[in-house]
This record gives sequence, structure tokens and C-alpha cells, in this order.
Amino acid sequence: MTVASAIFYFFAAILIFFSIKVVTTKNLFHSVMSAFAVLLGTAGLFFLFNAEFLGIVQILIYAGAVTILVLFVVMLTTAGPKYRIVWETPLNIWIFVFVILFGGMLGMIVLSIQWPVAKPVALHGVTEALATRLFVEYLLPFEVASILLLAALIGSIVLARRD
Amino acid sequence: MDITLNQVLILAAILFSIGTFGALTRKSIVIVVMCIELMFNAVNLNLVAFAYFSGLEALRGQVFAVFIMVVSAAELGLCMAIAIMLYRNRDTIQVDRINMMKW
Repeated sequence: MTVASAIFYFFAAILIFFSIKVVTTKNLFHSVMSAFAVLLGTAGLFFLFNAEFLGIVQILIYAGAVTILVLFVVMLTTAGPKYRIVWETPLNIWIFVFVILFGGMLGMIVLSIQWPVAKPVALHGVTEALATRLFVEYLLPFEVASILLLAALIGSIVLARRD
Repeated sequence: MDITLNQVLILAAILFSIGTFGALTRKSIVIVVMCIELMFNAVNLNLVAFAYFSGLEALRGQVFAVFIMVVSAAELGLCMAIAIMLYRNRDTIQVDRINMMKW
């Protein structure tokens, strides 16, 4: 077992454990913090897979901004005397069966396809290559994405504004 | 023994299934949106793994992961605004209490 493989199994165990914690824990705050751990673990896997830029972006945007935003919303919407915690939901057996079957289907598809795998090489200057790809070949989708972000920004302000 | 592509894909499939389960069973809108983010995350992991194991220097998988991040960030911001507005108008963010469009 190589070092990379050991690191991969470590992060995989962290990811699976904390994602189960996200969906099973009763406490809203614990759930959000478990999601934070899952996003950080994914950033670690990105670093392992030659994607330094994406790893940094994942830590900055997801682990930083998204978790803080969600925590703000949790604090804003679960405070006050009007709020009652009714998280104890009976486990819906049909959803469980559906998810098991769905996951099995995904696994079978993954295992049944002969992926054209090449020997992975450690690249240098991944960020530069990614920027070239993004600003030369995918310039139009990049600009459309910025318009989408602007629209989402204005929409969120309009929706959440108290008038 | 090295990491193979199948291991990463199986891991992402497990994460995606757990996220689906959470999005279908949890009652709070915030946690439902967080579970959808977990599903996005699993897909991003797939794309980065594809870019890594393809052996090319094109990095198209990482480019698509960037776009998925943009879209999911926009979606999460809008969902949080909707959650705040629902709490202001209906005093709850439980998905089974928000049934005013059901008849």
C-alpha cells in the first residue's frame, strides 16, 4: 500500500463518516459542521488528485463562505420562541430501499464500464493550464457563469430584503 | 497498490447516495440544501478524478468542476434567501409544514 493510497483511504473514511453524520444527527448545528468536515475532506482529495487550484477554491468558498452563510441562516431561522424542534422523523423504509438500490445501480454502472485509464502523472503548473483552458477555450461559459452569479446575487438581495 | 479510478468512483457513488438520502428525508430546508451540496461535491470529485486519471494535460474535468462550483454557489445563495423569506412569512422552515401550494 503506497502513501497516496493510505491518504486516499483516510480521506474516504472521513468523508463517509461525516456524510452519514450530516444526514443522521438531530442537531442542526452539528449537521452543518459535519458538512464542513466533508467539504474539507473533499478539498484534501482534490490536492491528492493534482487539483491545487480547486482545492484552494473549495476551502475558500465551500468551507469558508458557504458554511458561514448556512450557519447564519441556521441562527436566523431557528431562534425565537415560535420555533419548535421536530426533527425526530420516522425512518421512511421506502426512501432507504430506494437509496440502496440507487447506490447499487451507480456502483454496478461504475464497475461494468471499462474506463480508458491512463497512468496518472504529477503535473506541474496545473493552475496555469487551468487558467489557459478557462480563458481561451471556455471563455463564453465563463462569462455566462459570471452573469449567473450576478443574477443570483441580485435575486438573493431582493428575496431576503425586508421591505 | 495504487489508487484506481474505480475506487474514487465508488466513493463518489456512496457520497452521492448518502446525500440523496439526506435530501429526501430531512425536514429542515437548510439541511436539505446542504445535502444537495454534498451531491454536487461527489460529482466534483468524479470530475477531478477523471481529469487526473485521463493522463491528459487538458484538464477539462477540472474546468467543469469550476463551473459546477459556480452554479452550486449561486443555488445555495438563492436557497438561503428563500429560507429566510419563508421563515419571515410562515414562521417555519420545515418542508412538511410549507404546503400552501398543495390542495
